Amino acid sequence: MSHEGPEKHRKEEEKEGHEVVVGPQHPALVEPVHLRVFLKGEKIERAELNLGYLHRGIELSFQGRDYYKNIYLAERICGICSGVHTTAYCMGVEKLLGVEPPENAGIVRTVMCELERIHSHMLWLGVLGYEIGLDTMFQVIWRDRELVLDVIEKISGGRIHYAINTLGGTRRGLSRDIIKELVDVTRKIEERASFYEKLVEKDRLVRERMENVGVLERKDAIKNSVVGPVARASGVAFDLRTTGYAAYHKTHFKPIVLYEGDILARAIVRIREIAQSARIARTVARQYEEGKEHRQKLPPIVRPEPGASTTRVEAPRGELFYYIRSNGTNIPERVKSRTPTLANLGVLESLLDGEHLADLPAIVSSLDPCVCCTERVQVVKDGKPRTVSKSELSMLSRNRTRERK
Amino acid sequence: MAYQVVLVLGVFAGALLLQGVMRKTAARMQNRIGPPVYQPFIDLAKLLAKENLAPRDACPGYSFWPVLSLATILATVLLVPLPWGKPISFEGDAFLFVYLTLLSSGALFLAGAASGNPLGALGFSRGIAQTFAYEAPFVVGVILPVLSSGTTILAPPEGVLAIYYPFAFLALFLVALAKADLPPFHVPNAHQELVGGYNVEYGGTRLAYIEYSRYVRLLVTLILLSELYLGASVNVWVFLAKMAALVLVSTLLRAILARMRIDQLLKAFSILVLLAFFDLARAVL
Repeated sequence: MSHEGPEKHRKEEEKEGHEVVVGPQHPALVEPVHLRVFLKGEKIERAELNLGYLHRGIELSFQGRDYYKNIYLAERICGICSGVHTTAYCMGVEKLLGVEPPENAGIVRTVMCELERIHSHMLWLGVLGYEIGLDTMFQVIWRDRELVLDVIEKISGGRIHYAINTLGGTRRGLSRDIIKELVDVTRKIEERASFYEKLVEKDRLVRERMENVGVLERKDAIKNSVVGPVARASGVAFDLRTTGYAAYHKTHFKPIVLYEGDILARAIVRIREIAQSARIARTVARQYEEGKEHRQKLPPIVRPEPGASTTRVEAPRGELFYYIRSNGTNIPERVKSRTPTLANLGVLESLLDGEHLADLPAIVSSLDPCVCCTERVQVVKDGKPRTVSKSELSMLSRNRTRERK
Repeated sequence: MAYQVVLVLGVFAGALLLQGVMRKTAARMQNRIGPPVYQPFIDLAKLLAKENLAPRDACPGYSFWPVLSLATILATVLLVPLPWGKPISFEGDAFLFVYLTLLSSGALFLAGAASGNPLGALGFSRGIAQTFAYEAPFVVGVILPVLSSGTTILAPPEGVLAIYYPFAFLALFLVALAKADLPPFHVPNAHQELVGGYNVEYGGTRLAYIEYSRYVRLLVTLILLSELYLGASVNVWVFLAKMAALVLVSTLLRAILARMRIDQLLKAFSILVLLAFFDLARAVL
């Protein structure tokens, strides 16, 4: 963040043209993204991305709680893809413990992750409709999203935070009734997905707002190592679910890939993934064996052998990476999570170059940024990174409050 | 005199009701419950009770343009033919009507420019571009029925002109939405792109002037449309039925269309201009 006076801003403006500040509070971008946009008329000349409004220090908090309590924390990293975070975390700790969860646990995890992908993609699609000024699309898709949320609530008891994963398996299993309802709902979702695809492909106004806007070429996608639907819409067939973790090896599917790389391609990839996820959730849920265990009981205090594990799973937004290091106690020494948005935000500035200001909200949201998952902080003083202690931090904030008075 | 005052206030109240009806119908189309129909009256009362603040960088016109916008559009109410006649009528009032509505929407864009906010300035430039696009079809739409009856007085012509001149009717109908900056033409006041465009720095009474001058403009244009193109109303009920149909169709358009980008909008309107002029040529020749 820059804190220059108005004088300097004015000088820069003369040099660069019109400057518009987008965010961190903005009606269209719910996430606190801060963009300084330099305009020539209606065209964007250059955009500057600033982050740092939503750092919560979760990675540090991981180092102060035991392995069980950290599941709760991992769930709260993201407000949408909460289930995939706990899945990745639990898989990582299970690797450290050398525990293999029962097959049923993998099935429940897969089903939850896929239902989560459906509701995340639907949420995104609705927001996209809102960004291009079509409120009806937003309202209708969010209404359909309730179908999935209801099933999630039936399975786990929660709508967004499921608290279903635990070390050694899942806390709840599936029942015959739930599987029947899941099959019905996923069928309905597939129908709706084909309707959405028709909507974005056939509606001329919607299509024109998205076609050839915010194009990401395949070579740029590979160079910047973007992940998830953004990469798949630019022709990179990269989907970690094909590695077959949890219960993904129990079903066959191919990553959905398009080559255009514009917003329309990203929308279609996500819409087709809604249908694909519905199919995966259905096939996998049918293989659930009722009466068998869905959880391997572990002691209430676990102390993994010293060592480290890495886990990669496919979150709705792309690759999610967890690194967990143990020092033999019941508290992890280090937990690092790299969220997909961090990989994707790198291309944002180049995507905005030369586009209309009118397309900015749609381009930013087409990456599906989740800023609160992404923010990390490192204090650098005199070119060297250093650690700030807790008392120092509270001292700083107290001084700031005093200044404000 | 008392009649004129009551008429102007009545049309203003009608504009509030129009907004309420549109919001409620659009909400039902979107599977929402929506606000009650009388919500705009509550909003107006709240806005009028608010303190008036001006940003430090605002130009002197900041507080003037919103008032001018509402005042000019309320003046046009006296020129519009209603089922029970019109209060003021003279040779050439059709041209006065066109000028006053242009002044009313222009004043809003100037309000955006005067607010000293870069987003307001962008709203200004977009608004001017949009005005250039829709002013020609608007003039054609208003003048055509007047010319076909051989005068320059705004008065309902004989017969239903929408059948003979469908393009001019369509042009005036779309311009009615564009003049009120309603979806899909909410380009100068785009909420997602410009944080509200020209009204970004406004609040309180001035915001009320801006907001409701748009809806009075829509209502006046729709009244004109129903009287000039859909045949003269025999009584008030026919008039209300025609208005209800027009409001329903415009709400439907608002619900199913995405916002146009300014370049797409100019392209669409340039086609509309050609079609409208085609109808005008047929009417004159």
